[in-house]
Amino acid sequence: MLTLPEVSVIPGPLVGVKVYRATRKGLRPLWHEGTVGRTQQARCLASPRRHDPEEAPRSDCLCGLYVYRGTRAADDWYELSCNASTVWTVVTLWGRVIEHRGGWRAEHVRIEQLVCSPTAEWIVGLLAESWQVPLLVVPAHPDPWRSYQAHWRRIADLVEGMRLSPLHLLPSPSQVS
Amino acid sequence: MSGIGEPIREIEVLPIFLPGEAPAEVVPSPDAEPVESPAEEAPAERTHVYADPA
Repeated sequence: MLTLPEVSVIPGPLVGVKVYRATRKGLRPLWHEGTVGRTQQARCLASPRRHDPEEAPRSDCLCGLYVYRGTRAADDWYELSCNASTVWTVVTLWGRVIEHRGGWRAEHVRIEQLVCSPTAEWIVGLLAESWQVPLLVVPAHPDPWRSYQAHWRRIADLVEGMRLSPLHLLPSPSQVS
Repeated sequence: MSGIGEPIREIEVLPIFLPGEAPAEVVPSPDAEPVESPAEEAPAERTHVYADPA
């Protein structure tokens, strides 16, 4: 069993990037069925059950809401960038969190910014309006490599912007048009 | 591990949100102490009187 150092308590929320697929019904997680709301809480779906599903994430399991740090492109971002249905979100996360080298497994996540290609804009735009969350549409480039670079640089800028701004100065969702 | 690499440590991250920005599942207790608002203070005494234009 993996043994991690003693739990530290830090002020938050943290800021990272979470990826979904756009479907006709809304945003679908990459690895699970169903759609998600703006605010999500982790629940362990491991089978066979190893622990109380409500106690997620745990260091001795793989459960939790997966979030990238977002300031560097992760290994699988190239492939994600090539898919027109990929929806990138900048999220805040808090609660019980397992920190990883490239991101986190979180207990709570809230979507603060949506980023998608023009192909997915019709459905993501409806969600942005419903949730009152800003939406950035990044045009796809015919060259996949340039699309990849355009996506992760814009996302990295958004993440850095949120981290550098004191959260009390950020516009509330109701103030974002 | 699905692009986020090896685990480093477990942390407890405190949520800090503005009033009215709390996530949907956080519902204030109905029997919470009411907070006194400065707007409820008595209005300042009127010191100027304007002439009736009529």
